[in-house]
Amino acid sequence: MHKLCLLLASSVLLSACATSYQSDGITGGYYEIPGPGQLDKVAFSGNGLIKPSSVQNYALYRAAELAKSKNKPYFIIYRTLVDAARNNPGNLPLVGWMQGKPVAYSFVLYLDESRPGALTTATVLADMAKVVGGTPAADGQGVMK
Amino acid sequence: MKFVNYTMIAAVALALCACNTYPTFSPDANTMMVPVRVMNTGKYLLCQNGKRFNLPLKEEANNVSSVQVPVGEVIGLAVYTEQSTVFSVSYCTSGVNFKPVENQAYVMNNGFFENKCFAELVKQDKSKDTGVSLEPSATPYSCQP
Repeated sequence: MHKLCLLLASSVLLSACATSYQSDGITGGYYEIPGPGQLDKVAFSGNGLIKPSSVQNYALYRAAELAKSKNKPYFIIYRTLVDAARNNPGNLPLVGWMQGKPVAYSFVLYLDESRPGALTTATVLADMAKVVGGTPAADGQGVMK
Repeated sequence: MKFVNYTMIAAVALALCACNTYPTFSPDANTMMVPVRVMNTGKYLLCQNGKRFNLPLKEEANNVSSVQVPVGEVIGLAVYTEQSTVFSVSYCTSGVNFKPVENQAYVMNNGFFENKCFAELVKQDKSKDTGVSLEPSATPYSCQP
């Protein structure tokens, strides 16, 4: 009985808060899949309590973190592979719903020099630091799925 | 009466399960195959001359997964995903028709945009930093004889 109560209490605690900015875990978070080419698929999955716009911002922030960890001052996000093939950059990751929970992702290309449509790594990190509620440019260590 | 209800539930459940029960694709030894890297999870289906087959997923290093498809004629490549929440279960099949050619690798991505599932397919292109180019033969998925 005691164990059951503990289990219930932990479930309630886990499900009571929106996913915070974190690496992928039981309530969601960011993860990366390498490729194709020099791209990384960078994603952030949330729980049922997080706003889609937050998931989108977190995925963008993670892309900037990775760019910084690779010493790339610029990066481009492509919302789809077709956009990458057409070199049609986007401003924000794509958001969809899986299992009733929002997931945002984009294909990210890291750059040494700016190109049309490129985002500046330092600017994104600075602008989004308040949104993710953390220190700008964390360690860049992520979860490879 | 209860028996009827349970029988109906079982029949519906069986019918739902049967929708995605296809034989595994087993090509002739002479059939030339090419890889399609997949950027997401799901059950992959091949449509050849109106017949559907399950395609086994090959897991490689770095969590890269791919399926093998036959070259030479237009095929359908689809991914079947299941979404369940506390309140509902929904299924979605999205895919692409295309004509694979020898010595060409492809990349398929699927996901959800807003509440709709989608799939996209591009060809690998090592000459580009994005690693992908548009596949000219790609058309919306259909599985007709």
